[in-house]
Amino acid sequence: MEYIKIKDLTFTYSGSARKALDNVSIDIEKGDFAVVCGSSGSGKSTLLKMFKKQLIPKGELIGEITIEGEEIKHMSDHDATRKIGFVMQNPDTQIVTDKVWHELAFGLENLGVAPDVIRLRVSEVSQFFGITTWYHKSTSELSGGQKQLLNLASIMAMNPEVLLLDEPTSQLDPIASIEFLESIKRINNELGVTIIMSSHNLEDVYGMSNKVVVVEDGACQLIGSPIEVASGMSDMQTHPIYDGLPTSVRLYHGMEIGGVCPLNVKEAREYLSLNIQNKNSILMEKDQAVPKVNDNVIEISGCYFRYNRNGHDIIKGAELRVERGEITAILGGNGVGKSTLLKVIAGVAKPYAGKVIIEGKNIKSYKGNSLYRGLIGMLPQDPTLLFRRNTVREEILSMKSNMEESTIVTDEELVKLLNLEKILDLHPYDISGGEAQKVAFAKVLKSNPSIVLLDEPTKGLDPLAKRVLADLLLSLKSQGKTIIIVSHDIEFCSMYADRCSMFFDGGIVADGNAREFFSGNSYYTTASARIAKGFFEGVVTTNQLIAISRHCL
Amino acid sequence: MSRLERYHPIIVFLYFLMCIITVMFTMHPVIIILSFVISIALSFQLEGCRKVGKSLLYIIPIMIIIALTNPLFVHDGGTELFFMNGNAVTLEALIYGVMISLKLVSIIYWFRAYNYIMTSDKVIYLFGKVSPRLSLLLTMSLRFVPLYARKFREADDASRALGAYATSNIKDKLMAKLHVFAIVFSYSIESAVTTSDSMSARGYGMRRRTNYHNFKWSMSDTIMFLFVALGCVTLATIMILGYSGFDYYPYVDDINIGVASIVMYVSYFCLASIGMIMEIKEAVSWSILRSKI
Repeated sequence: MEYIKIKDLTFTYSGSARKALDNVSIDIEKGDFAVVCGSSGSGKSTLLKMFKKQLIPKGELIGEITIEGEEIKHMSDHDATRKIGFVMQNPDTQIVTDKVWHELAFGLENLGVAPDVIRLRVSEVSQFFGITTWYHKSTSELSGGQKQLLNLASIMAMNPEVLLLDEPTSQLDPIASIEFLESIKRINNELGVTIIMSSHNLEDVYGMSNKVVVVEDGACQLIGSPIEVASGMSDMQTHPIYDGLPTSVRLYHGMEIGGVCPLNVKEAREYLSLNIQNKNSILMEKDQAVPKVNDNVIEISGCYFRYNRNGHDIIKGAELRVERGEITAILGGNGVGKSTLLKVIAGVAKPYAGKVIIEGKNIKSYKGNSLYRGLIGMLPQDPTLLFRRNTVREEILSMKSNMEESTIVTDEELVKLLNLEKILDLHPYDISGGEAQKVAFAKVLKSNPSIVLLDEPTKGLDPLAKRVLADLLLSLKSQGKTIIIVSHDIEFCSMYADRCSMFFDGGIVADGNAREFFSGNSYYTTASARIAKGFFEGVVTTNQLIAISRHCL
Repeated sequence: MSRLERYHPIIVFLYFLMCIITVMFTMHPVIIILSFVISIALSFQLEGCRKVGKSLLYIIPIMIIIALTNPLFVHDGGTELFFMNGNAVTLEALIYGVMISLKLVSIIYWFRAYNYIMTSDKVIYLFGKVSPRLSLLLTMSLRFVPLYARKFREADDASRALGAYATSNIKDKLMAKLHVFAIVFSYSIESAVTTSDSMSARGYGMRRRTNYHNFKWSMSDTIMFLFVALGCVTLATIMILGYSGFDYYPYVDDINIGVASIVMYVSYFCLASIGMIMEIKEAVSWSILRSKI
């Protein structure tokens, strides 16, 4: 008998006419690792909440959801809390207490477990998840990855039988995200906990799962094993989630020769070596390298910055030159100071030594607001930090009051450029991450900056929103704007950046055009480049990989 | 980690409570001077010379001001030193002023040491004994303050790069800061919704909560408790009997050296300095242990 069963489930949020979930039926066996994928607003979060009694939103629910034959709605509060754990998307907002040890104990305290038992459980989970070294720390001192691991551990302390995760890695950097997924896999393998996880970036999680559910517009479109779903997706290449599939799956579709679909880099390499004729390494033709004309919009030399006098240097001796009209990507791990570098360029962080020259003028000589009038615009990592009005419309109009020059972009132009018509009357907190980013973009572009700075623009975006962002960046580039992206999204940068720089230990350690940059690296590179290594040289993006593989069949 | 930090929070709380209350309710010069010396010595021991030395830089001027204020306004007392604007400045008022300043400063240093030892989780544990809800509220606010402070900085940077700080005049700056404040306020409300979901998902408000903590009551806590309790009872008895009374006007009393008074001095000394003594004992046993290796 099925362990978890959803039968003909339809859900409509109260006050909404649209069905958030439409006639969904899913069976999940005990010990399954199920991945629910779909774009933002597809209903995957709503679906996940249906499994957790306390989180079922207000609205009309038809159909049934049962666990071991027991209806979720009729579970006791105690069982619903203990048996079913829920980890949310944002690592910050789900932490309740100020100390790591207290956070781990929080759920058990609520269940009324005796302190001595809690002590044992808490020590068990901290050892399982490797928390012992930061057990006594304050939660505010942790990195994003540690926070999310703590959220997971504090749920696992209650010994749940089912673990629900709502896009748990979308706010994490790639390294932290892999570590997190490894923990999930361990929970599944070693403890036999049933896992249901939603995600729109499937590169790493796809191969770990044994069941994939594709949800779109509230309906369950595909369901089955990863290989079944992969073959099911082959004629759905315009599907909003398609770009989120692992590179190996897209390669399999692109080569159109059948066989067993590879699910990770290793299998993809085996697949290639079986199927391509030419076993010798093939050099892919280089596209025309953009010549350096040394028309530098930004020049940073010998720059040093630290946040307080006794702290260590975040930026030490950084050198950077940015060409006019190009998309420059600055890559690097978390917490290495690349966002700080962006703030230095934006004039928000002031270096204590070194020179920052913007458009041939030292940044210090831009008085008052002149730097932010038609010259520099910065999109913050969290776009909601720019919002405080009740509607998107007011949010965009409110920028007018600050502007006096004639060069500004009109509101109509902005709305058209960013395609915001549909959401103008919504509250800025009610729109999806991608839409929020576009509204923030509208605010930034209002002063018509010639240099646009973006801090982690792809964080939390689904594949479709990423593509929209890329189109927007390319159209800004065609207007002659210079764009600087700080990111750890290697795939995105490899596809759209003209030039990439690696930031490490306070300075730029390497730079070059995107092709040279990524094809030369073995660790810090795209999945396509890792698959191609040894077969083809100079391959960076999935499209290049597919093209050259087809050529060599 | 110092020895005092390792005692059970209840013990630490009782210890500081006794030291502070005793000196608060008496003007007896022996108790005040003992309290002054021990509290500062304990602070030095806990926080090191540099930090406490720095604090003395502003504490000493305050002490002098307090000590001098009393004789300027109070003209009681039999021993006139000199006249100022036709008012007598008396020796008794000066001594009283000095004692008041010593008393205040010693209370400040007791609290300093208390704050150093009583970290937030100990305070929360103690609160939890009285009101579990209040203690949860406290730990949540300790969580949210740094979170919102960080968000404030981020939002401030973002608005700065949008050109929100139009000019450098004060009014504009203030308006821009208010704007940032409004942004963080809406963020906090929005994030509170998620936090409350996260709480209810983990069963908050379901039934009687237990209160988990990392503290264990050990044998040494019992011994310390008995010691502090004995000290308290002795001190309280003698003080209630009136031996802690001391008059400064019209003439300063002689310091009583009767048996009861001596017992009072000694028991206050033992009680107040037990923290320091435990620290020293620890340091000594450490060095002995090390020399044996």
